[in-house]
Amino acid sequence: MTENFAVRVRSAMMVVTIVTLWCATLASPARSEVSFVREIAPILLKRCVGCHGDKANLGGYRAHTFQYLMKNGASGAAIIKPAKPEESELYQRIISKVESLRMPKSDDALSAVQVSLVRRWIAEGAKFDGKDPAASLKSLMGPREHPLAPTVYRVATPIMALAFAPGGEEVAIGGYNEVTLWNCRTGALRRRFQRLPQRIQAIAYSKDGKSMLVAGGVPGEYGELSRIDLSTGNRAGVLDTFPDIALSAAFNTEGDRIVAGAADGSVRVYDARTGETRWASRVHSDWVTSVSFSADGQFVASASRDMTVKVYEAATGALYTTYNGHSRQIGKYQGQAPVYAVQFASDSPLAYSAGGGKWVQIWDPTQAKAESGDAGDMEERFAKEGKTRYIPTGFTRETFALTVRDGQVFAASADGVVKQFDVASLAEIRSYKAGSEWLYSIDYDPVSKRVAVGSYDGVVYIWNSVTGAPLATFRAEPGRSTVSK
Amino acid sequence: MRFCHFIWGIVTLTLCQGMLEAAPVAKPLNVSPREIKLDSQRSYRQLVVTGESPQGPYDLTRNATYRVDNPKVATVKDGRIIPTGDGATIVEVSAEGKTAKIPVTVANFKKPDPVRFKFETLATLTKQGCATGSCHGSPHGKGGFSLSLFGYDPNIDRISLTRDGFNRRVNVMDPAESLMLKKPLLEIPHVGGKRLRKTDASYKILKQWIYDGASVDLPKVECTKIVLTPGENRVLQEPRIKQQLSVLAYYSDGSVRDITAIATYDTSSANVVAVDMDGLVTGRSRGQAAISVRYLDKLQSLHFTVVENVPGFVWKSPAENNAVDTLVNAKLKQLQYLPSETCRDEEFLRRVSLDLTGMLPSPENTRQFLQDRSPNKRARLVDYLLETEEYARFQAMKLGDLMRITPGRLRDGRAEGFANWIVDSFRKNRPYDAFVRDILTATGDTTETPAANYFLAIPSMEERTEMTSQIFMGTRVECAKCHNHPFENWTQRDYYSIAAVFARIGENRGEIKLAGQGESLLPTTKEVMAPWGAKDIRQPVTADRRIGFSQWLTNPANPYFARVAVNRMWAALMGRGIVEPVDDFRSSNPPSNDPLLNMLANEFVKSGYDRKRILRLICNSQTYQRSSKTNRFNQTDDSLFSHARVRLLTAEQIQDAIGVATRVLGPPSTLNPELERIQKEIDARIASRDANYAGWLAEKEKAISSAKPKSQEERTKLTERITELSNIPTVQRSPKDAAELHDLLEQEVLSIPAGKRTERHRKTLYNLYLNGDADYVSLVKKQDGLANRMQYATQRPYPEESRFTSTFGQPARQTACTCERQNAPTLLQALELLNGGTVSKMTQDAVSRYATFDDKRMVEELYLSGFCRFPTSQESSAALSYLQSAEASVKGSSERRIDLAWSIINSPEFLFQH
Repeated sequence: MTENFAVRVRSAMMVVTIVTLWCATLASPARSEVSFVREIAPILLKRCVGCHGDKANLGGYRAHTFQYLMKNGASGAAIIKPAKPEESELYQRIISKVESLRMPKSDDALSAVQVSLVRRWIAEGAKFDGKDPAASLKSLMGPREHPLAPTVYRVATPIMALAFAPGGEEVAIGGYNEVTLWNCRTGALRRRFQRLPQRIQAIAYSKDGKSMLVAGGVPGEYGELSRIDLSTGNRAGVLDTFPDIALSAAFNTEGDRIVAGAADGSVRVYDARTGETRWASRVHSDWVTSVSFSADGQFVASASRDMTVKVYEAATGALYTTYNGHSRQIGKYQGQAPVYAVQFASDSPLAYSAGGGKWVQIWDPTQAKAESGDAGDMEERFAKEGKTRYIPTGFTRETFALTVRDGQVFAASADGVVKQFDVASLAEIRSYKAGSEWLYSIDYDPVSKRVAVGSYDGVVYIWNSVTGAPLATFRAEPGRSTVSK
Repeated sequence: MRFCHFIWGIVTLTLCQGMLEAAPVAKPLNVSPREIKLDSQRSYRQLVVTGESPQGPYDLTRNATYRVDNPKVATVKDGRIIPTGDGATIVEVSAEGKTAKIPVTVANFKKPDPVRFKFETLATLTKQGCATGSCHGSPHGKGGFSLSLFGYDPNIDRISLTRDGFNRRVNVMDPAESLMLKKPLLEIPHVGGKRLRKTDASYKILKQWIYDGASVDLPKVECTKIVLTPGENRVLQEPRIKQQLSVLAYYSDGSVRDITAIATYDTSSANVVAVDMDGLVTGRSRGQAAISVRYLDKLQSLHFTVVENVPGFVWKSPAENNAVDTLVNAKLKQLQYLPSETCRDEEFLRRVSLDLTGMLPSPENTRQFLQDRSPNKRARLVDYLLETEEYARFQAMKLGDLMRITPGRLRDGRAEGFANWIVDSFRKNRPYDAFVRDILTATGDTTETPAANYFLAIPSMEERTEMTSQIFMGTRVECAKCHNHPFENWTQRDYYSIAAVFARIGENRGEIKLAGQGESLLPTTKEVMAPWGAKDIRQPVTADRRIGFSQWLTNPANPYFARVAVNRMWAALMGRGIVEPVDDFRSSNPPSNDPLLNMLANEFVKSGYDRKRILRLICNSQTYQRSSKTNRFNQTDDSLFSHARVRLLTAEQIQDAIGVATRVLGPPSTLNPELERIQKEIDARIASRDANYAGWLAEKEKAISSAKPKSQEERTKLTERITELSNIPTVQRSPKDAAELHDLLEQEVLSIPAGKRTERHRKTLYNLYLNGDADYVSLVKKQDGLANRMQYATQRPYPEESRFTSTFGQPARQTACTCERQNAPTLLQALELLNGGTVSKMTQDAVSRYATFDDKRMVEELYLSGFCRFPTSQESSAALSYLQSAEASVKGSSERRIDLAWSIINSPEFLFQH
């Protein structure tokens, strides 16, 4: 009796649902067609691609591109029959009442609105309104619109990006959905550039000082490289988006090229004037943490958590060499560590790199290529120390940021310490104690000779690098004034 | 469905009220706890409501109705009291006509109540499965995100979650945007799949923790224990198959918290009992299983027995011989299994002989036993077998497997010495506790103190820790070497504390001695660990730390020692331990019959650790003597011992059984006359050689005196070469090396002037003289082989390295784990039996060994020796007609005899113990 009762209730409910849906359809006859890119792809991305994507393909089915979406899974059932939602396995599975069949499996069902969207889209012919049916759904989505930043910061947000404005009187800080600009002496908030990506990982001023390059995104799902017009304070254009957060961006010396690296392992170079992509490369097997142009514009270097630094020909993107000095196992300087920072010197062909290891490593890309040799002399290559020079940092934890200028290198570490070294002698000039928190970002201004770092707890520390005297320490949080000297 | 429940609820309620009115002085309802004080907004308390029946207590938590006087103070959901505001109220709990009034007070409801990283955040990461070894809980955590295993190192987790990966994983501005939530919610692709729901208590905790700033305080406070309600094992009797658990954590600062919602629950067998995220246990099918509750490094288990009513089952009160049967039958009756019939005499004879001695009885003994009509003949047989030399040797062989006795590891007779020492302990039935103390505290020259070879065979402190724990405590502590044990309460501290016991054992040229120094350091803090079993770390350096440990180990109150020992004996006889595997005792791996294990352990302790007494007790039980034939009501039983287990003979048993069946191996008792005969020959040989000794010596002295005296350098070289050659194990030494060594030793002794030679030198010289005689050497070798029973695989001091036995899973004695012996049948085994060298040689030899028997007698003898029974008339005539077939055939009569022996050996009745 109970069973019958339940079945009856269920059938009755189904009738109600169907009637409601039917009424809904009637009520808005003038509706335009469902857009796959704007309306269906976001649902698929959030609810389906986790199990049916490029990493996992349960049931032999993938849905991370339109092409794959339309391809039947291992069961062979017709996944999507255009114009026939009732005969489409995909539709049947999202409305199934059988728990073991209903998708998303062991998760909440799609909402009634989402189900009806999918139904309508199939009924209207399951059309694709994007550019490339083989492109990942993520890439179809285009740049996101971002919300305003919080008026008042409830908690500290780690400072992952920091850059002196030309002249060194102001410093730009990566905030939450914004970049903030602060007076270096007073720690007073000067400007807020809003509606930017959630996290800001890199800031670079253009050579003319009129615009600012910003890289960031949402970890695990979205990366963005965009430009801020400093006269309006608005996002002036999005150069590119990435499937994971963009972690680094830089101009070349001339200011006519831009390089960016992201957590999806990609490195891309753009024409700074037109915004066109010049080349894109994905040779790293892990996050690209830092990118830099050589002073002469010949090379691009990218550091990665995969323990290598890759060097490319800047014009073409062809891989020039791989610097393996951070994953040495034989020789004097042993250890294997992710690389978090790479910087070319402004006045020499040398590259500086550091990360989880104990040293800042200084090397020449052309020598690195000669030392890389071929696979045959592997052991010999590992045994010799090569031409790399090593500066022992004395840090107990990771080095996250480097800046090389004026014959000096500054390294910021998770110890909360910044160290200043002389490039010629490799000697330590000075050590600055910020706080106890991790330092993620650093910049040096050649005019004012100031050095600034940003920390996990949202505090900015600025020093005079000539005297070593502290200039300002402030919490870069709009709405919470905590200036101290 | 829900509607129906609702009606049922009303009916129950009405009934209850009716009963209340009728019986106003009903006993109060059993509710735990009796009083509740909540002192923060996020605190709660899980009630457990218990009913009583003649079959025992049962859970009413989800059946009870709850009424709160003041809903502004608290609400109740599934028996969980949740605060809603400051104040005091009463929660009235009613079930089955009884009620209880639980006073509840709530304080500090408005005070901030931040999530505690160490005690809440980390617990939820374990609960959701993030911090398991196969996901993120390892240094090579998946996707570059690594946590410490089950949160054992909060510092690693603090860094991974907040600072590492460019603060990628948490978003304090907008907690719901955090990667560490979106991934397990599967809002973005996660290789680990869906691990979290927004309705989970863990989600709320993690989100709150992030909202509060993902802050990390690592207080010095520790969780000292967790306490479960109910506190004792439970029976889930159909239809009452649910049990709500409640878990309290006690902290070193004196605070106590309900952690029911964040504890991790696991079942040892999901088919038997399931457990959900809230600690609600549900019986699934008949059987027994453990539910383990983990919270940080603490683990507690409860054992559940699920009873279903089996249609048509009637308990028939089978006969009981002793306490073993009483306890086994009680369990069978409870779980509704009907034991098998008693096995036949021939089955018993074969089974008990193989189990106790490793060998098949001789046909003569079989005849005698089968013809014996006395009622207590089975008990007398057990007594007889326990007194045999075969018993002592076979048991010692099994122990030798665990103690890694091999001539490669224990050289120059040490392996034999140690093995024979163990044999002797079985022979004399040395109390097991004393035997183990002898081993664990042995020091001295291992050629003179055989027991000390235990330490020589396992050279490192870590291995000594792990093997000692595994052999004598049935505990696999090796996990705790690097981190707290995932399935047990063994911590890293415990591991290094046991290691400290062995930190001061030194070894020098085969001599085990107290080193006087050496410490065991905790790797994380470099803290010097106090040896396990000792109260004070400041022992004098001369003290033997092993004494304290072995006293702790062999103390009657030790929770492992006796239980592990009797369980090993039980497993050897029954084919499965009461705890299985036998060396994996932990609360999450419950005994299939706990009272039985306790009884055996108590008997063992009470008897003064008398091994034979326990073996006798088991062998004389009906339980041991059950048939392997199952009935309708015990077919599915695999762990409660309602029937005998059919199992393949072990490698050694098969080899010897084939030997016995083919008459290649005589009964070991025939060895004694042979040994006596050889001894006489040796004596005669020595006597004849003695006559020439003086002449030989004089000649040698003359030769050496005429030779140039050796320089210091030459002498050093000589000694070095001698050491080098002696270091080659005897069995591996080539004849050339042996001859060289003999010669060099002779030179060494002879170079000492006769006047300066000690008694030992003279003895060495004499032995060298005797050993120079090939006849003498071969006689001694033969004698050694016979005395050590080298031709009997089940009786040897160490395994023969043969393809046959290794194919059948004989362990190479590399580990202390019984699992090193492979039980799984393989294709190679089948091939070995069909046409392998051992089988083919032995069956061929059978022809000559059976030469004096006529066909009929041969058939009978083959059946008696191979199967321990007479052939049936049908079998007999079939075999005879094959042997005597007049048909034209290429095979002669001896080939036919080979075939017959072969077919006996290849029959399941022969290869299996049943």
